[in-house]
Amino acid sequence: MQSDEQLAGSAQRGNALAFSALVERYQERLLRFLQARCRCRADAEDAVQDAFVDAWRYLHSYDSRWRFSTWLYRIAIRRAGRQQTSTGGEGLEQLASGDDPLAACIAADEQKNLWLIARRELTEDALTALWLQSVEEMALKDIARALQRSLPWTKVSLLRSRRRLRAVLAEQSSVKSGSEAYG
Amino acid sequence: MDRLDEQLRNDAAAISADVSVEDKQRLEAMLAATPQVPATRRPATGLRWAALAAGLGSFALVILLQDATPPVVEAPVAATPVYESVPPALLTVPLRVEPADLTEPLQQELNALRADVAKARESIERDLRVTF
Repeated sequence: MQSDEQLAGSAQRGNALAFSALVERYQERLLRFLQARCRCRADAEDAVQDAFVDAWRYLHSYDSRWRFSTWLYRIAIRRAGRQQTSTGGEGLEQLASGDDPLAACIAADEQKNLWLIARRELTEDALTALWLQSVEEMALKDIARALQRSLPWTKVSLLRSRRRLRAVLAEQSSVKSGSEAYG
Repeated sequence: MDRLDEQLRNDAAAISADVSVEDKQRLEAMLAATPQVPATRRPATGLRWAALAAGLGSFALVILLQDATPPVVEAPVAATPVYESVPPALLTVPLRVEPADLTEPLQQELNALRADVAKARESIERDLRVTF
């Protein structure tokens, strides 16, 4: 099985099938990631398509010394940002009212999904950094590169995000145990 | 990997990401219709080199101008400080001297002036007597 970088190199030489293989590999992963970032599934789907089109269009600018996933996620993050700007941002108000569109993409029995909490509690870049590390298992330098942030910022952001999520979870569990005790 | 990481990964997997056949076909059609941008030398690189060359050029120009400017001749500085050329007797004041000793020359000068004034007054009075 060819690596992402080998397929990208082959696609750079004009092999459309190699790029199709990359699309096949990353389509669902990107959609999942962008759903955690975008306001709704439709926006995430549009951002995925635009990201792949951009990747194809500017494939020659890809430097094979870097991981293909880092480059692709960087494009996707930029696309998600544009999507939000063009559709307007009610985001925070919507989240505050408890009507998170991400919830619609998660099955009813999965409503305690940690990403819903992460989306509510963390900034966009902090959420992205956390996703890239914990789900995509990216190295710190790749995350920093994808987000166009410094390495120290990335480290601090990840530490703070985890601490925040742990605090929220601890709070929730204490409230739960308290209500069970009195209920 | 701790519990939080495990939960984050499991919860990410729980997010539905099924891509419909229509969406896949739409993307394929979009890719087929999108031409690739040919690999060209990015203008930013050229600009970077131009900025570097301009910086080096101006640096060399500054050095050349500095060499071409005649050096400023500085006035010779006295080898010994001025106070060293004054006799030490004039610089030092005896600490135990009486105040009268210090003011005596002034007092003498004042007396001489008063005597001059008295003489001048007598002379004027004499002249007045002679005239009237």
